[in-house]
Amino acid sequence: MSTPGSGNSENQSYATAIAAFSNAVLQEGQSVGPYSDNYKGVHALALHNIYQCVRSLLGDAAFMALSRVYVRHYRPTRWDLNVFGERFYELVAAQIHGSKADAYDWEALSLLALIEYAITVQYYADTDVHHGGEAILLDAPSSDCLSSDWLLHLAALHPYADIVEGFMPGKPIAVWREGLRIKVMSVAESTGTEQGVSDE
Amino acid sequence: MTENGCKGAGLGLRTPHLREVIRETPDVPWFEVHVCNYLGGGLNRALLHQVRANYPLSFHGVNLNLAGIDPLDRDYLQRLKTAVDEFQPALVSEHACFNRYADHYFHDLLPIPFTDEAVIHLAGRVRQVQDLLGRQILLENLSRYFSYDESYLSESAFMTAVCEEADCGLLLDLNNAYVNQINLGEKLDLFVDGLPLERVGEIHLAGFTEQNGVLIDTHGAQVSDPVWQAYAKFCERRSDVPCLIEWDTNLPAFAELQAQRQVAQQIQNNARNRSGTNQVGELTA
Repeated sequence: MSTPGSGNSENQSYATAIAAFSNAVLQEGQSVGPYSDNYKGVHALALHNIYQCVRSLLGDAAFMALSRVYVRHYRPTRWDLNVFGERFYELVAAQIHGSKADAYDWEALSLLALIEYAITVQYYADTDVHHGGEAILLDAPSSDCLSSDWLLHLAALHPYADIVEGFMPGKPIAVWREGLRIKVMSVAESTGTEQGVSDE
Repeated sequence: MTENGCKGAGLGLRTPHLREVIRETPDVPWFEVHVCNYLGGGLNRALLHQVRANYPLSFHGVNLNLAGIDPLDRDYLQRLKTAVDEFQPALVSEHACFNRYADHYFHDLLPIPFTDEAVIHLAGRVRQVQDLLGRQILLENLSRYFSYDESYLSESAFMTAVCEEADCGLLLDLNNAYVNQINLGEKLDLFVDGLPLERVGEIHLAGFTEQNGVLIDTHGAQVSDPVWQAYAKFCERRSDVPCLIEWDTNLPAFAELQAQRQVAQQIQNNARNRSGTNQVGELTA
């Protein structure tokens, strides 16, 4: 096995060697195959763990296909793998223009992805709303696009979250943590600023 | 809190087993956690406090980017220090690797060339971490699937030089060494013989999977016979070092982890009985 990149490089500095190796992994160089495979696998697994409900509704094959595209095009910019995938909802929403536009309700799945990501962020957040933590506000759904069946399924997959059985059309969705419980509901249903939620 | 020493054979504690461990307090002398999962607030941290009430802990990290060329992440380091101060783990460990380049996070343990330049670079960053934490850390040898042309030191010579230069301890992963033996032809026995064994503060044992003729350190299977044999051999020299069963992928029922742990404990006990003494190793040379 030898140095990725070009030619004999006995005089390369440490930094140059690190750079060449990193680039080879990202470019899926043959000499670093196990690392490229792991890079793809570990990030796909992170999406698999965060977006449990989206995955369940899409099915494994479609979800994995989306995961592969996401990992290829969205670079991880945080040390915490648990919060990788913050723009996955964009990729899901964009499928409305793809070859499977009619196969799924992509708008609803995109909203579901946003909610699942917000739940994850609150799960790992430093503090809850009683100690300076802030709620995450998501744009109001245009209609009641998330059925109560979907929301019950979402709640079953995130047992540490209290999720309403229906969102109010036109009202933003708030996701926040109180103590060890995560709350997900339309803003109008919450008790307002006392819980760190406002609908400004 | 229970006493904070890690002795005997412990287990890597993974999230699916957290509640079972809290509820049933199984007979395990200590647990190791991937500390990166506990640096925020919320449920994980609260659950870890409940674990800590009954068990000594070891903190194992994968994100310090110790051998990277980007600056050390001060936010991450501060979070780690807060967690170390809060939970008082018996051991804190990281890897001799890099995992970030040009703000691109690989979330993997990437290898480095074994050179004097790398020794100085890595040891300097280990010292920075130890100074901030106010304690010694253990540095773990990697499983590798690539050798740099630039390397002119053996891995054991490299790890020895880093440990001495940084005055840190060593986390000896015997499965990693075995994987390197098969994949890269680097003899496990020579590797272990070349290490400063008095600095070994923890042993890792795990299983691998074979993919296209390459052993991949997946931590997804039982410990293999050659690794058990290597562990038994190590225990003939040091039977006082805490040993950990790591299992991350295809996580089995807790009972299977316990069975693996008991094998490790038995090997350690046998070596101790044969020697007739309780060997006491020192973390620092």
